[in-house]
Amino acid sequence: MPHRSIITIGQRFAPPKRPQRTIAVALLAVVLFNQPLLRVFDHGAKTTVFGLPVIYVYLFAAWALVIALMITIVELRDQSGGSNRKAEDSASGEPSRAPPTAGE
Amino acid sequence: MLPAWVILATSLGYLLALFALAWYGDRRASDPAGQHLVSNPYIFSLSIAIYCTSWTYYGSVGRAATSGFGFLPIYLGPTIVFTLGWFVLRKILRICKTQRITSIADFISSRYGKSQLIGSLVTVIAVVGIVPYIALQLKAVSMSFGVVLAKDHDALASTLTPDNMAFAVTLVLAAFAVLFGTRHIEATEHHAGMVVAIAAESVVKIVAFLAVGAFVVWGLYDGFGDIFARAAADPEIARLVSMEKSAGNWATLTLLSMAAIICLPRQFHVTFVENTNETHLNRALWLFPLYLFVINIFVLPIALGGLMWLPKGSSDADTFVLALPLAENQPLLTLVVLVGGLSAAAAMVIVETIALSTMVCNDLVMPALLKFSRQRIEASRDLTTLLLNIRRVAIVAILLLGYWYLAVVGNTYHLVTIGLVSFCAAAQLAPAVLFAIYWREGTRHAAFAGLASGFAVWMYTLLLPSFARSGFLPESFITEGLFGIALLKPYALFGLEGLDNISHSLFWSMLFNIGSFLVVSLSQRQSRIEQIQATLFVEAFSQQAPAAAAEFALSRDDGRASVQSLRELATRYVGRERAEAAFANYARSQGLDAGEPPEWDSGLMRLVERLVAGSIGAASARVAVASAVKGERVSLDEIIQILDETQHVLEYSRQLEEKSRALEAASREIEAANQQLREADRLKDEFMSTVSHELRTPLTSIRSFSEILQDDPDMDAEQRSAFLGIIVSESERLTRLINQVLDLAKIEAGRMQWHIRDLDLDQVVRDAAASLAPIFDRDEVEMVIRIEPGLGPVRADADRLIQVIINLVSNAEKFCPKPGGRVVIDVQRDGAMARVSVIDNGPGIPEAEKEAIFDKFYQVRANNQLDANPLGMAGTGLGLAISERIVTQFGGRIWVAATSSAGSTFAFTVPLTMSAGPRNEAAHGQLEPAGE
Repeated sequence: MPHRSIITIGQRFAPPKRPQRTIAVALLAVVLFNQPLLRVFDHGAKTTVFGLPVIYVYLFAAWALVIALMITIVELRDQSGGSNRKAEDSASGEPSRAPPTAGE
Repeated sequence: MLPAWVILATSLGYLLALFALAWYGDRRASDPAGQHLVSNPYIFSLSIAIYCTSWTYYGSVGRAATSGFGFLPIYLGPTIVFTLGWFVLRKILRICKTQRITSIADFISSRYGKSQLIGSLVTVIAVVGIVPYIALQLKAVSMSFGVVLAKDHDALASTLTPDNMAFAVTLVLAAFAVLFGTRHIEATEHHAGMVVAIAAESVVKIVAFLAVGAFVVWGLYDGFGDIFARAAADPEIARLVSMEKSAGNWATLTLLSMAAIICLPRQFHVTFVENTNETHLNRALWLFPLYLFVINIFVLPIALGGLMWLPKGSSDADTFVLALPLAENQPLLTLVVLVGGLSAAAAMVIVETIALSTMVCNDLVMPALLKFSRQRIEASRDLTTLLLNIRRVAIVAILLLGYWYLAVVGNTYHLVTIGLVSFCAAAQLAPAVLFAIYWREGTRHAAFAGLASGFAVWMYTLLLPSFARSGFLPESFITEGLFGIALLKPYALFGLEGLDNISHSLFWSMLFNIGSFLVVSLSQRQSRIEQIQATLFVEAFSQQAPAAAAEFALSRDDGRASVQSLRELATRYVGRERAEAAFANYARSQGLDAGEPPEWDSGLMRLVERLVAGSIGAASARVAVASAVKGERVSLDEIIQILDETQHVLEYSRQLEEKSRALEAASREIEAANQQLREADRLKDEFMSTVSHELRTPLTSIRSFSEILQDDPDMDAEQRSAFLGIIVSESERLTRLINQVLDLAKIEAGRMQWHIRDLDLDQVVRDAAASLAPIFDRDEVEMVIRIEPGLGPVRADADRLIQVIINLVSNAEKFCPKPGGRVVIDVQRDGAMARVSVIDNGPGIPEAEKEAIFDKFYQVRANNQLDANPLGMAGTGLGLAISERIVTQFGGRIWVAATSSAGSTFAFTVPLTMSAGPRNEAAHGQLEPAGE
């Protein structure tokens, strides 16, 4: 079954719908995981929510959110595997390369 | 606490179990049915979790105990990278597959013009950079054993001093690494079994860690809330539950880990080289971050719990995960944790050293050997042993280096600090990798400059100072800089102060690395092979990449001569005006001034191709253009590499060609069969129309005469009897016709029942003659029978044979003049057959029709020669056709033997029975027919 070829011809896997959204998730992660926002949520050991420090909850909740978003994007696939297989590479988000024209 | 030997036995047993699993996995991998078990997205994702080593296991807690959340960024970085995985990781993966990359050194060197020098440099950076990381693992393992065995006072335990322990661990891990990875050479560098083993150990790791986490949180305390509440109560500890101590290098660590998750040799290996199926990556995109998430939940609670529970200063925070269950007398849990930590370290060491040894062998040692002792290499018939031994030596050497580093430096630093030094080294590879896949213009020299300068700065700002701290180098190196020059202080280069060591090093090394890369690239032109490789890498997702790369291979750098020859070509095929116009247009699109010739590039080639294709077709155009643009000598190697990709396409198109040829042949056959069917259909239609005509004719007569008789009751008796006679004879004719049609149909359909037996030909002929006698008498035609005596029996069907004879004889009689006609039936031997000839003295048959008369419904009609026969033909036209088929069935032949104005001779042969007697043999070479 899994063969050593890379092109997924014959595989029943269909690529994720609009994988460009993962870029948005990446940007979100960068923002959530870094200084300015962290400082906002950093209230030290004493301030708690559900008995846990805010900063602790925030970090893990943000992390869980990013993972959850990735799950929805990757696992919710186009069921029409056929039409999307052809579009798999054009949906890769590469600045779509038109066949090279004169003057390239 | 458990006795020492139990601990050691369990540990060794666990490693052996892992090895057994790897061995089993290899077995299943080579069996297609078992592949699914061994190669699936879950195994893949778990194998990537080898990122979590004993650094994660022990070091994270240690880090948390000193800097709170400072342990976390190195897991957030990979999460971010994996969210970009669909683009970045997938592209690297695709390239590795299509270019058959076996390591990160291979990847970088392949992209930058397949430069062996760069491959060697990357290998050196990797080895030197990873040595501290390996030292970290050795330290962690020996430390963990030290903690656990310290409680034991038996003889075994006391011989295991920390140093001995570390060395023993080194040797054991070396042995296992050699076992796992150098049993045989695999061209693709796939170790399917090893992947399964490390996936399993990832599970063991996380389970063990969660177990101790759960123990601390719910066993020692009352849940998360309790721990944090108590921590808040202690001002010192409370400061850990904030960003206070970790904000400083938060961004640095995030960036470092983003580079590391790709560039660490073991990560590159399991993610891109070991991968067997691109689709597995998709699940890994979230499954791996999820793993990281879960394994980190307990880190801070454990650290806080350890700080509060254990007496201050009694344990190194790096060992809390062991110290806590140990202190609480939980031997089983302690053992589980110990094994978990060992597992984490062992997996890292094994995979890392295997990956490194592969690079050392392929990119460092072999190129050197090929350069300096080529003859000896080429003379040896089997290199695999040599390769394996080089790798084994490399593994052991790297591990010993790790041990050495540990001995010299290790005890001065916390685990995580050592690890970050390695991260920074691995990060030096990141710019080269990213430029490789996204920036076409990166050149080989630029890559070398970037890597070399980054490596040098890293060494100066992180590696060497670590020796100084430990006393290997003088302290003044750090405090006063090299040769006392303040600006060269390794931790404050060029006066940059205020950053932690890691950030400082990262900044300067990246500045030099990326900076020199850009500067050198922009001031250089790429060679042909670099262009090819750049296209193949940067456009890995495009289907046209191999073709575009091939174009580069066939193209010329110095364009002027090519432009000229292209111009001549175009002029030749589309005329001067059009050619000039097109070239002027193209030059303009290149931004050149009017009147200047266009600069040569691949687009110009394509333009001319399109132009010329209009006149001579696309294929010829391609050939014409290619020959006009003479390429330089490009190495066969390069062409093969490019064509390798197109092999797939060629294979497909060849198969398609075959199929279409087969289709063509099949459709031609169908067409021929169609033709035949149409012909048969036409014949059938003809037959049907003739038959119905022939049937209708007598029927019409019968009806009309019957009607006449009916309408005219007063007809005189003579006329009435004449008409009745006609009705009777027509009915007879009709009956004959129908019978004959049925006979013919039966014979042709093969449904005629033949009763073939031995017959006395004499008797048969006389029987036939007798039945025809009344007609001969009536018409006053003479019948003569001449039969050769002693002929013997013939094999035939009696009734049918009579039918044939009657047909021929009655035909003959019809043609004879009346009176005065004479029909001779002559029977003679003819080889193995008996020949029956029927001779008449009628008008004869036209030469041209001698064969056609055996066709169905053929009748010799109104013909000059028949004027003599006032009755004309009263036959059905089927008689001879049936006779022919009957005679053929017997194995004989029927033909017109002679014909002239004096009469015709019809003859047919029928086989004599092969009875006793030498004269019955096929003397004339006539094929004895099948008969039945």
